[in-house]
Amino acid sequence: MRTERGWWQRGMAVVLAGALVFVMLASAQGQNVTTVTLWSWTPDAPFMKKMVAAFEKDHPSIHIETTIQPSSTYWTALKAAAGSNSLPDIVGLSAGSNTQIYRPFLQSLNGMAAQFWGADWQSKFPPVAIRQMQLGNPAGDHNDYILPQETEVLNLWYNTAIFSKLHLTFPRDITQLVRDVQIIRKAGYVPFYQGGASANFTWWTFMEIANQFDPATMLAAQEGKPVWTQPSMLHAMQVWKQLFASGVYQQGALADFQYPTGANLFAGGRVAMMLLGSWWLQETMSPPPLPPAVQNFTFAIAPFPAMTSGGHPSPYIGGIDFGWGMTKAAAARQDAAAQVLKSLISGPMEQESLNSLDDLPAFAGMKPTIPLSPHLMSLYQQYINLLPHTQSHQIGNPDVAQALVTAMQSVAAGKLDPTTALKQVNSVAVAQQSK
Amino acid sequence: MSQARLGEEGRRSPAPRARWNRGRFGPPWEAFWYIVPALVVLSAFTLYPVFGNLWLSFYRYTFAGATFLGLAQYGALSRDPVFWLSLGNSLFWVVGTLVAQFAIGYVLAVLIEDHLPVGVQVFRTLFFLPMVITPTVIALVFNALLSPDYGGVYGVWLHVLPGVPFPTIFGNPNVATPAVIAVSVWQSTGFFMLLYVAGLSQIPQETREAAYLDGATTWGLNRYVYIPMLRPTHVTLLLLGTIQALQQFALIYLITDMGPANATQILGTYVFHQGFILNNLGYAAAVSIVLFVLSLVLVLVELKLAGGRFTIGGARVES
Repeated sequence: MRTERGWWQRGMAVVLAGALVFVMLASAQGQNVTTVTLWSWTPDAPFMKKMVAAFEKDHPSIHIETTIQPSSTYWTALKAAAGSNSLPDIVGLSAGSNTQIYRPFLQSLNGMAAQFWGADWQSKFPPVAIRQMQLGNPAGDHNDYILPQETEVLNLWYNTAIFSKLHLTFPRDITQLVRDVQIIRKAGYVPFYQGGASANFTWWTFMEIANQFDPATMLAAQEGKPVWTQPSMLHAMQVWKQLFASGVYQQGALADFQYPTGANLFAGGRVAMMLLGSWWLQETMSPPPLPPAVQNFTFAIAPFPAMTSGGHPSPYIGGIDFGWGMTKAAAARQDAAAQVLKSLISGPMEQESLNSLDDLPAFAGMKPTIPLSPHLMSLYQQYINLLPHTQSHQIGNPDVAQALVTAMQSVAAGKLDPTTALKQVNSVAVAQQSK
Repeated sequence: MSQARLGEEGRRSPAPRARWNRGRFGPPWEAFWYIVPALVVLSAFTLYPVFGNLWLSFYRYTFAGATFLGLAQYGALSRDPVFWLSLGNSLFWVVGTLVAQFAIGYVLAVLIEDHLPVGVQVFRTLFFLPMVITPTVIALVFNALLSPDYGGVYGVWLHVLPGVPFPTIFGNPNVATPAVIAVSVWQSTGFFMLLYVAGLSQIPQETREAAYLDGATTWGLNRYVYIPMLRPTHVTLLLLGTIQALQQFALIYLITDMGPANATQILGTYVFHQGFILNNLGYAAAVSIVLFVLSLVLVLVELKLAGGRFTIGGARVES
């Protein structure tokens, strides 16, 4: 008995000593590893984990510590971190105001981009992304504080199974749209789902309409010019009102959200068409069981129909989905952080992201390397072809964007007429110009 | 009489001093050391944010720097229609939720305690259950139920009232706020009921029997026995209900996103909207100071009206 206890004690001592040596070795090895911190709301944590694994496999001396949060909490956390000067090395950003807020903390990335991809690096990104990278910069500041990882194209998606079942083709103009909507609704489907409570989808809808009449004025308004009372803008607002009055949008649209409600209904085969974008392809990568409409992917893309009989449909809009900024705090680990940034945009990390069909690549020449069905591949290729021709989907100033959403909701609810509503947006644009 | 009282107090007052002087509890100032930890926590997590917010409200603040504006942001508030709408909605929330929760909570408590022959525990649990459901789930469920075109209630409506249009509820700016208040009342009434049940259980059975012997009807029992005797519970619920109504955020954010067209905006959501959506941190601070003052005034008025008597965890407090 005594001998047995002695043997057990000796065994434990050896195990503990071994563990101690292991910990010491591991910590000694850890001292040679540089840790780069990265925060974002996208790509989703499981995909980001794969991306990090892909990077760390090639760079064993760099460890990426990621914090991925839902967008609702991410921007709040980022603001708090900026306020306490504790931002991570690399931050996920969207173009425009969300980059501008953090500009005092961010490094200019122009030199780094030239070092990565050569002096003509801008030619490797779509024109719309290049334009959005400096959106909101003060006059004379030509630095890029964000480099885009992925881009997006917005469009109407429609369920071909519903259209085929009802012997309909996708509407080309407002006349056909109003007629088809009635048929679709009678058949028990939501014809054209609009998440009127989702701010960005609301202003994107306005852009879709206004771009049909005067894209130059719309672009000027997006870039901060107080041109919201121009006739083309008024026309767009009147069309928006008409879409509600004629029953194109569902009755409770003003309280409905594009995500998660609308997207779930669309994936479930209960909605005939809605405004989404290139990211919708990722639905096929959701964990099983997938709804039949997604499993068979009975979806197709189309432009926003012409809002005048016999007119032209909307040009596609889009731009940067998300990108990355590098904080001044990363200067202490500049080389390691730069390697991570490059990989996120044009290296293995972006490749992993593309293989999850997260969205479209910003960097030219990259594409998913996983097997895709011919239908999915064709849709993907359509998007890649559309990307260089898309018009910007960003409004530079958040106050103006919010004023537009409020105006649109007021008009749809019948609380304001289009002229008064647009005057209110314009007065916000004027006030923001003088700030 | 008053002199006698003064005399008594006069006789009593030296006693504590004598105890201090004897050193039984140390010198008088020593007691303050015991509250230092609480003061530190209070200063760090309550006083500092309040004064920090007040400071911020005088500045236009960005991460690039702060510009002193003095009272300009308060002046801008007075001209901001959304601020006034939010203020009105906040007061509507306080009145609307309190009236409904008091009435329904009290009636449910009396019905359960006095009139339910069986299943008291089951009903108490059922009515309290919404309190423990996260607002995210509640928002999703109510949106899915009440949405025209695809909602669950809409489906039933089609069968029961074919041809009659289903009303727009959360998407109608005229009814959106009362509708979200109704959801909040549904969620929180169980708490009011539970506190009333606790209060009713403190009333001795003999009191009820005496009232009945004196010929009290059900109405009389409630009017002259229950309601006066539950006064500390009323006050507690008044304070908690007011604070809860002014702090409301999640349901509004999740059900309507403060829309349509700001129709459901209240001061709490407007602080978030200005600070975190529009990045106007100084302006958001000014709104939050107004909210702070409003809360303070309402609670002080309520305490004054209640004569400072309320209950905390069943214990009566005289302030």
